[in-house]
Amino acid sequence: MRLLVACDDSGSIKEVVCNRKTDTSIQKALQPLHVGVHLSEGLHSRVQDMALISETLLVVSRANGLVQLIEINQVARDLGDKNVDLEPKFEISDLKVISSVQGLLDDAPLLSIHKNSKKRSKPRDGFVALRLVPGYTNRILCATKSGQIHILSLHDRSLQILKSHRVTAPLEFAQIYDNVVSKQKKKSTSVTLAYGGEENLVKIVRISGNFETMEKIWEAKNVSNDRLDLKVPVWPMKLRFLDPVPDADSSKVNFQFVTINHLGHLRNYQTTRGRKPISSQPLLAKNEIATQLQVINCDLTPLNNVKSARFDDLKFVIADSKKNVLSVDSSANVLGKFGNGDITGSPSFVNVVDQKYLLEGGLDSYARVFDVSSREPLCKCYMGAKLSSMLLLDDEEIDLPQSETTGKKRVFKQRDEKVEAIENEEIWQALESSAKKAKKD
Amino acid sequence: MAPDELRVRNKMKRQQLFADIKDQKNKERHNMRKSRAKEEREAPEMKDKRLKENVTNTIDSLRVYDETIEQGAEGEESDFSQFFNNGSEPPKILLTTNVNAKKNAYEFANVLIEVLPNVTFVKRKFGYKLKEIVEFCGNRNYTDLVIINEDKKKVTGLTFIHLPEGPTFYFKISSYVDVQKIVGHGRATSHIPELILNNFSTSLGKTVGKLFQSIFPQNPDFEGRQVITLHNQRDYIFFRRHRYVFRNEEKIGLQELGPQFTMKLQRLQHGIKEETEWEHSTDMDKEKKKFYL
Amino acid sequence: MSDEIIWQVINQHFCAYKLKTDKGQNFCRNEYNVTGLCSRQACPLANAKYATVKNVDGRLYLYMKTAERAHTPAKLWERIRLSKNYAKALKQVDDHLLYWNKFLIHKCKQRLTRLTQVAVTERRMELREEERHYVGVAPKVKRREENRERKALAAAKIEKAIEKELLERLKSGAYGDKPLNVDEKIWKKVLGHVEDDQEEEEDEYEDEEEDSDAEIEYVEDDGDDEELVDVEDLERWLDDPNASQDSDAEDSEADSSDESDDDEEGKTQKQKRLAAARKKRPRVEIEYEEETQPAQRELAQ
Repeated sequence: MRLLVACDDSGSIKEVVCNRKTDTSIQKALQPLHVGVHLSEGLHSRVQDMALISETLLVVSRANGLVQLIEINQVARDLGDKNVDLEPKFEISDLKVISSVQGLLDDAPLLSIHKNSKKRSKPRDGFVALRLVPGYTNRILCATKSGQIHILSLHDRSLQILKSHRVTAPLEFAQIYDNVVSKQKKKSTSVTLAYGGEENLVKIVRISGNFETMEKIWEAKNVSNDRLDLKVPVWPMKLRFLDPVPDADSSKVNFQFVTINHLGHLRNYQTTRGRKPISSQPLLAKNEIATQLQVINCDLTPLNNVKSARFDDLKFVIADSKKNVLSVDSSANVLGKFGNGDITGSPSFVNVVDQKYLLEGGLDSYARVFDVSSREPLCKCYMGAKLSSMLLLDDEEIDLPQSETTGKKRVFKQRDEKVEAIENEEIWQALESSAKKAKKD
Repeated sequence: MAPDELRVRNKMKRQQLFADIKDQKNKERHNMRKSRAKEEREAPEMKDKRLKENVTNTIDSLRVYDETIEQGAEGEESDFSQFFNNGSEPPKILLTTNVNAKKNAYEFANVLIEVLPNVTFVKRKFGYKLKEIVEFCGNRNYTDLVIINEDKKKVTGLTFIHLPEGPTFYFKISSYVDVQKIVGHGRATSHIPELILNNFSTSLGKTVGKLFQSIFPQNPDFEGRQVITLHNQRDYIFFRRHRYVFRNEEKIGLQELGPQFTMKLQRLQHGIKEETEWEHSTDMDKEKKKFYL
Repeated sequence: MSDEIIWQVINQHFCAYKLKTDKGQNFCRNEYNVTGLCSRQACPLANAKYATVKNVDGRLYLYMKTAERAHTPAKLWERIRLSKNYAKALKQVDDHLLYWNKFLIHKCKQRLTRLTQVAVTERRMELREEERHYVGVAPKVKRREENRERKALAAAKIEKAIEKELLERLKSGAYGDKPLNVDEKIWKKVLGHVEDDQEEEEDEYEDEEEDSDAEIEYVEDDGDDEELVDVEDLERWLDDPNASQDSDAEDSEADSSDESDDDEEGKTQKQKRLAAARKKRPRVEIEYEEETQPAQRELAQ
């Protein structure tokens, strides 16, 4: 397994090569085969998001407002004077920044929002999304907390800002719709994305094919007041699109999506059926905050949207701000817990790859991979820093050269048993002989 | 042993025989010890060697492996060294209690005022939210906010919030001993004490250590000969204050100044009570030899 | 069944809702009871014509039952949703209970008032930020933690650890070249140790120099003649103009020697360091004594 992990404290990207059953917490267990540190730039410019745009190209966004284009090259490992035959054979990656754009963040709009906010959303801007625009290979969309949506163009291995739009701040997420992308290779494919945040209802906007104009096509409505006739706080945290509802009225905007919000409510929306959610179920106890949402039992699009139109069949994995990573079904029943109490810090990153692997990392500085269906941990690596993002580059197992230590151990153990048996025998013989003596007397 | 192998069938006899064997073994052992002591008296290096070889296992020495002890947090630019000022600006602390505090909390506050440097006590008023207090502190350049938590008229916890952006630590307080109750206690002077942080080994432990380092000033007055110790043993942090004197180059005299109390980390949160970075749960107690600090 | 017979049973025999007290007044647990007291007038079972106010999912309803519907238990109660506006709700109660007996009208209004107040309080508590959340601690866990703390304290051997750490600091020179917290004689001994160690490592031609150096330094020292410097002594010493002049003179001396020549490297370096220490010390003291301490006292008040 080859992972790229973004570490906060040193602002670096680490490459981890490990096999299944790797566990750094157990001394005798398999340890990661390789941990390489790349591009350390310090805490202030920590990596906030990473996205692969091709086999060898990676874009990362950093907390100081930088978006970097990074080339990944496979290079041979320098083994030094170690025995080549005894070392596992694999290649390691070398990361190199080839282009960057800066100045994409803006703290100013967040200051007033921070003042009015009851809950503390930090007055510091950051990236909330960084993705390749579906249908393109050279357009990258990045969204910031302060409500800026930048379209970057990738031309001749260099990044440039093509166009910036502004939407209502603050943003907690920006999810691009890629369930239905027109297959014609026209240049003017429009981009649809949804965003929302603290006291900022989910909105869907469309950016035109030439990225010049942006129009709002749909806005959600808050649910009705609660039992005590108080307003339910608005704070969507994550959103995933589903396939649009089949055979619906074509004149209406047709989207279907599921959100998780700050209060831990799982909500399902269908834009054809009004602006309020169709269902809203509480998942967590009061005062607990849900932060992550992924779908685990369905094929996903490259941007983690769901290739299914049936909400009821879906299973989700959600994470809260304490230490829980839970899998739940669409009616909010908890199906199980990942990590079994092993995770001690708030998970800041949860992703599902191929319905098989669950990547999890967070404030407890461990990068973990779970098997999605059995919820068994596959590997656990200590990274020495808080994680903010992870990428699974490949899931190949690396052949380990067989060593003979295991055989030896078994022999040793058998001998121990023998020694024990002999000692026992001695006691009994002593007993017997003294008994005989006693009889003689 | 299978029953047919029991050669002596009378139980009383068998027991007696076994006791005899045991007795003999005991005698042998005593003799061996005696002779060994004699030998070692003549050649003390043998004793040293033996003591070196036979080390008693303790819970601390059998501690469950924790990779964070060796690897530690990466880089000097760890989260906290950036947040916690590196001695550049002296700490400025605001001390307060929970809402509706009773006598015990105020008494404990008095004790903390003596111990902590550059501290201001503010009586907690009803109706101010934590965020407002934090903002108030931020505007007045406070570096830390300490809140005494009291429950059922007993001081049960201490919250340390580093300003302006966290992190937040919550400690449980137990076995508080008042200065007056310590036998032979001395009187503290107003010198800035030295600080001893013992046994903070894991990355979490180092974070906690850094908190205490940042709260006490970095330039102690050595002529005061006072020392504050925060000794971590099995996740319990013992707070002690002493005055010391070097009697000769190997011996030190200590006089306790008090107070004593024990802290136990319950929660570490990012920011001001936001995402939990670490939280103690009773499940963690199951394994006796696993320590987190 | 007549109301009178029901009441006789309830009052003199048994009622599942009745909560007996020894104060003479019994309570009623029936959720339709308008007052909560067990009495002939307030009994929802023994009155065919009855009205009450209830809170269902945060909404207030006026419930009424009449003898005409007594034969259909499913439709026994007629309910009317009351307005969120308190005054309007009172009006609604008045309208619907027109010509009912005064007791029920009055009690329904009282209950409406109370339920409104409860809702207001509940809302206020909901909006209040919870600074801490309380968790129960099982006695077993509490005892376990106490025991572990006790054992940890025994294992810690705190005083020994402190002594070890302090000695280490002393020997590693963390207290500077001229520590204020050590007796001079002991410090010399310690220094001797340290220098012995250094000698082994270095190859040295300046043995005697160093030794004599050290002697000179410590004879000259004026403040540290007593065992340990007390605060008062320090103050006196600081106020003494001669002393400060002395140190100034030394400073300049050190400076000049600093510039003069490089062949006696060890010596000059040593002097420099000492001079630096001397330079530092008075300044630190002055600041501390005059500024921080009164400030601290103020703050403590």
